[in-house]
Amino acid sequence: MDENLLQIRGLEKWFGTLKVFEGVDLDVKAGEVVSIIGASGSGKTTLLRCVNLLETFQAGTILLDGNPVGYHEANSKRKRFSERVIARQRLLTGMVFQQFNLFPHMTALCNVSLGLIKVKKLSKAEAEKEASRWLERVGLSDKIHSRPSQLSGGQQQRVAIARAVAMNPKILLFDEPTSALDPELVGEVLNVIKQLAADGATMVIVTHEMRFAYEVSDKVVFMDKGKIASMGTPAEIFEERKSDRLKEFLSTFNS
Amino acid sequence: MRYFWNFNIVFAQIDLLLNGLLLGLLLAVASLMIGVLLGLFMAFLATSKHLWLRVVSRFYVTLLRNTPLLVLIFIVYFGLPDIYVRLGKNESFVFALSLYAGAYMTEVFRAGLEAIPKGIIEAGQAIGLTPLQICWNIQLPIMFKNVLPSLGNYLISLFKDTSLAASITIPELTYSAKKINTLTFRVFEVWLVTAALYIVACYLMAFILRRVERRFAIQ
Repeated sequence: MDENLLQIRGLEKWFGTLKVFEGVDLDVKAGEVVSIIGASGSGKTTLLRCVNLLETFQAGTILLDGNPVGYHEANSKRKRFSERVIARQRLLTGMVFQQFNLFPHMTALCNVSLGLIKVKKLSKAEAEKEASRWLERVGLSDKIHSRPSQLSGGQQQRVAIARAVAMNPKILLFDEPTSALDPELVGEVLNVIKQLAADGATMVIVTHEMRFAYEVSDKVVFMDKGKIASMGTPAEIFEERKSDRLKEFLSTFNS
Repeated sequence: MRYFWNFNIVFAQIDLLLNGLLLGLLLAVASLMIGVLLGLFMAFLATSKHLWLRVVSRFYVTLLRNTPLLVLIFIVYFGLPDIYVRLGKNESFVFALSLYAGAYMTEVFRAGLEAIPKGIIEAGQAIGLTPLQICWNIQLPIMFKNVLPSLGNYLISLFKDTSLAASITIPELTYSAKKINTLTFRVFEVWLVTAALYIVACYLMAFILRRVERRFAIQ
């Protein structure tokens, strides 16, 4: 049990009266790569955002490295932690967004070093050294002084990945990291993610890239209508295709 | 009918006008600075998730924006002493103009804050920044870049509004012009020169502000 870096139990979420999930359970072990696939509206992105505490959830628990995040019990009432505590809990996770969400007024280097300076309290020189090391790892050593507007989508997403991993999180969360990219730029971003996986990073990836999910994952989760409908190894999910719903979903991709 | 132009009699008193112009500029800059702070504060209230804070901001904007500036100046200058708040002329005027400017700034800043994509703020949260750090390092710089053109326009408009200070005998440009007018009776000349001074000053301001904007845009 305690080797689970991320443990989700009985997670429930509503938007108003609309139920987004019910009873979602998921375990992610250290070093594991988990892909979440499913149709739009199945709740995969919202699930990821709950883990990063960008969304509230109404019931259930999320344990990160053994500790509950987001909510705690006070006088037998469920209470959300204060924003300061939540800010600290978010350090356990790193998030890469579909739309990159780089800070538009800062260079690539500043985008990556901001958190190191403000949150990790590194000196500016140390932070910039660390930041340029990560930018180099994602293949952007010649772009460290460029602004987001001067970079291609693929380059922006690689800066965003560097920004997330530089904070040294326990788990990396990817929310459809290539969905906003032109097809010819998808490869460079997926390669960076594969590299991180090969280096032993723990990751949860929401994706529509089935081939990539097949290659990179230890475990694949198929979500349907707010529930985990199937879960298994890539071979079990993509080759055996146990349920009708899964067959139907996968048949829309020619893989 | 023939009018005999005589500008020399006005130019003889040009330092009075130039000093007035300078005073007007100072009043505008002081009011803008206080107005910006007030507007920032109220804009953050306006975008707060707490309803009553939004109501406070809304109330302020509605009240101040719908009162004519001259009436506001009279309330502050003639009204406050009655409740034992004594301010000098200049302070009263800056107080009134700041309140007024703050209401407009609130709307400008609110729009500037709301224009920042939510995802960028979430990216700040995701790397563990606290709400205050997000405000200072992300929201404020992006917002200021967004609103710089409107801020510049508003400074020019505030500068022209300082002519209303004449109504409480502050010796800025309009008041000085009125004084020269009463002394010389060269009505046309005095007011034409005054208008020209306003136009040149505003034009120069606009020119400088465009430069500043361009600098910020490139960075």
